[in-house]
Amino acid sequence: MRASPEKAKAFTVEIGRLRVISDSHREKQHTKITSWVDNHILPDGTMGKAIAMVLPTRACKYARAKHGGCSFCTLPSDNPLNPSDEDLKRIPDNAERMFVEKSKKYSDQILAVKFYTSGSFLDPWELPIEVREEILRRFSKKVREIVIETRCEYVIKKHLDSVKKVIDPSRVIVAIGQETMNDEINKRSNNKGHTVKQFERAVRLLKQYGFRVKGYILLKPIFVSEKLAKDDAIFSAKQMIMLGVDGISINPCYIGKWTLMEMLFKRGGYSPPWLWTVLDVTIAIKRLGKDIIVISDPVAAGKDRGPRNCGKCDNSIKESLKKFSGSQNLKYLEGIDCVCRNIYENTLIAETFSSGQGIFGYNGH
Amino acid sequence: MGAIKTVYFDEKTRVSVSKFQIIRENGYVREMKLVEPRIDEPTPWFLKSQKGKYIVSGIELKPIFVDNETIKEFENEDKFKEISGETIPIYLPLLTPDTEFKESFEYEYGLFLDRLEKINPKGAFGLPFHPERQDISELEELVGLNPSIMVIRFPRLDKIKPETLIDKILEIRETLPSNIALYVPKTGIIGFNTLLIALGVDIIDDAAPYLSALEHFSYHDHFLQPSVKSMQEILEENLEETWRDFSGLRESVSRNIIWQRLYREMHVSPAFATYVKILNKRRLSYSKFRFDHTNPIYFTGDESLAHPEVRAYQQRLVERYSYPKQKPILLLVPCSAKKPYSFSRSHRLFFGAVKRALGSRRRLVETWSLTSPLGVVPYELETIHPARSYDIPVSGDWSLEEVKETAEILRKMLLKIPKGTKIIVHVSEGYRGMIEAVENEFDLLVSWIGTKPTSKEAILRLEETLKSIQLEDNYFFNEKTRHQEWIDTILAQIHWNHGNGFELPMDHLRFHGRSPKPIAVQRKGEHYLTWTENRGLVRLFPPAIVESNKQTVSWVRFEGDKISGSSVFAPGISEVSEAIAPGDEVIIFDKEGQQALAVGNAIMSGLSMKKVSNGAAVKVRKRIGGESP
Repeated sequence: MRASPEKAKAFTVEIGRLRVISDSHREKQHTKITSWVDNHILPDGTMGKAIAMVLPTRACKYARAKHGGCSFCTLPSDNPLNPSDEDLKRIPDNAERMFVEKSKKYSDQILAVKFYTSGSFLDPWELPIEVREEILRRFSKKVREIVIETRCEYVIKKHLDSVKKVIDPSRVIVAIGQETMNDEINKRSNNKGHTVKQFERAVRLLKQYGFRVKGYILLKPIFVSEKLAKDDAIFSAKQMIMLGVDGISINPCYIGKWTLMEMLFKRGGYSPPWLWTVLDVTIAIKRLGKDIIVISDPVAAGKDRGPRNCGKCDNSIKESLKKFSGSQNLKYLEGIDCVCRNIYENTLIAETFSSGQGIFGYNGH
Repeated sequence: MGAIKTVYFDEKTRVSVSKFQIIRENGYVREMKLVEPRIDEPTPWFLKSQKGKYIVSGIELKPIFVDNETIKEFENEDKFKEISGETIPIYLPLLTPDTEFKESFEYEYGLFLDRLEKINPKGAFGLPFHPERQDISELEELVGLNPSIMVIRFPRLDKIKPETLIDKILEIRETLPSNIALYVPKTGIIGFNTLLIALGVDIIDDAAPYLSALEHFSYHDHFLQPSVKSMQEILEENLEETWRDFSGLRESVSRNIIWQRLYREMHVSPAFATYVKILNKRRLSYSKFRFDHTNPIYFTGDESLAHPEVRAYQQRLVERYSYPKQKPILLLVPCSAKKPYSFSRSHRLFFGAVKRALGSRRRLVETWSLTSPLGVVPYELETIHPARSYDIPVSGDWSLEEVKETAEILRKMLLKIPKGTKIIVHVSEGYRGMIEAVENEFDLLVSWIGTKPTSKEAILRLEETLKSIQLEDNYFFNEKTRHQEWIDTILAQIHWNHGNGFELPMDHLRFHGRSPKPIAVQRKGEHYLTWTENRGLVRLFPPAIVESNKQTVSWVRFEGDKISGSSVFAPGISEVSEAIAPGDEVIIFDKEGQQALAVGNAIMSGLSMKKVSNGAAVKVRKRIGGESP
């Protein structure tokens, strides 16, 4: 045995260190809600809009652990570090006000609302149970669908029962950031703390209750080459679909502040994926199942710190992906071409054989 | 026989089997053929991406990430059957952590190796090695897994210090058996490819022209510079230029001019010039460079002073040249543009003077030509490569470095001549520095140092100088002057190959034939040796070896006691001299090194034979005491 297990997660020391820095930049308390409007499609094909809100909860508990949480995640840094109980109790009111404000423009088109907490909506430490129930109760009357996110470990009967009490589970989409169905990548690259087994259990339980489930796939984790990332995303989607998820959201990596990913990025040890990879993966996954709702709306697309191409085609691909995500119609993704497609296709293999961490920033002189 | 004890760095290494067979070696460049799956296209391979795949003669180089699933797949024997014949798998670890995460990297790579042992790969396959993260001892361990290709993964080729790049590649090349191919991926940078090939990299690809286009860098006209053209245009230019470069490289390899090409390429950018300047300071394994080819080499600048063929020549000259007997006068003359020198007008004039001055006793004069960058070329060796076939720019000016280096060779050579030998200097102005550097140490008789050493006045002066030498009258010759000259030349050329400790009787020789055809030399009615005069090539025949003292530096010991086939294969060789250059004549001895079994020519260098475990190593020409192949 050459591989001594105690070294397997040596890199998490660095994540922990970075997380301390990140947390030191977090505001102690605030009640701001960040919000935006997305395209949304219902299983029956109705197209409309969804309002997404980042609720100022305590944010992910997993990220507070000594090992620093996920290697790519920067989300908690926008949430208050230590919100007061009063602040947390004010969330339903604030969210409602935000909803009214945002929905003015779209009046009756709003089909859904997405609650992001930079952590787990079902974690009572983050969001007290009574606040959670209050939010769901109020919004169940306003929209047809509610999307919430959680880690696997909070998918337990107690929490599901409490949700079921206030809203019909078939109107709730529970999104789980499984990232990949390869335990090795999750453990030794993402530091996710999820296993496939846990995910399977969570999906099964959610399905028993009648919830709809969405799986998140992280495209191109650290230490992973572009080709492997591509293969792994498609593989993970297949596995998730076999488990019975209703939707898949493809999340290409972008460089978040004070993350291990950023540290690697700065010294040339990582670069975000090509938009071509995002495009190819989206098409491949959508083709796996017609009924699967595939969302692919990359953050920071075309920017230095996000998935990108040559610069000329970035915007059109970004728009196409948006249109596709809102309509589930593959026609928006077909026939896209650019000179850099040729470059991408023909260097991916060399990239794989070399250390495989990045194509951009390459200067042959 | 100065037996060099051969130490294999690992018993495992010796039994490791690469599926490549060396068919030709010159320096670090080897032309190899893959035997399983069979690929006739010899290395170096220049991979051109075809729809995102690298395919050589229909065989794909395919990355396989090794995780738990892979092991399960390979538990089934069919998996190997499925991939063999169509692909050369390159096994890669699932995750490749950054340099800074040493422990994580070690874990991932360790896990990769553990799993690879379970998979137990067969056939031709490749493994990755990370020179910036892994120690060279780990590379030795990898050889035990029998890879045919070693993929050298530099995180960013453009971010590595030139010293590091050169030293790492050289270290890897010297450590690995020569029949394991080196692949440096994400290459194809114009001007840089030649360096990699010259350093012994066997596989490069065409990623750089694509990536440079992405960064708006054009290779147009063999330069590397930013361009304002459209990306499509740049890409087309880059690919065209790269493919032209690849075909040029292939040709340079087969014509043995890869180093010349390197000296040309260094002028593409200051960065590349840096590489070459650093490389010139490194000591290479000069005994890997062959002397038996006929391609001219051109020295176009100071950098060629360190041309490995020059260094190899100088090293061999100082080690193996012995001053001929009964030559009390040594004449130092300038080189000539015409090769061999003795065909030139100037040398004919010098020899005319010698003949007029000494008449029949002209055989008492040994002539050395002084030259840059080789230093010294004795008359007997002027038909040997590279003396026969080089060219330099003739401006009459020598750089300080040239003077220093050539004077050092002259000094070492003058130390070899017997005491009392009269040294006559008859050279042009350019050689003044070289002569001045040695004049304090040796007693020189200056006939001429100045412009026009071929002028009437100069030739007369040479005649007078020669006449002024008082020669003792105790020289005795069996042979006619012309024969004696031939014998001295043949002997020097035998020493060139076998070392100056190698002795054999050179009396009663009969010469048949006329140059440029090979001259058959007989002794006591038997074919003794063949001499190709115009190429400085002597081929010994069994009677010559039997009569010799067998003290050659060009030897191998054969495991068995009888040579049967037409080749001696690497596994059959138990010990080998490191002095063997590819193409050299080699005497094959038995296990104990007592009895000579055969004579042949080396297909690969002695250094390569030491580590290579398959393929033909020596082509047998004549068996001793048996019928010939």
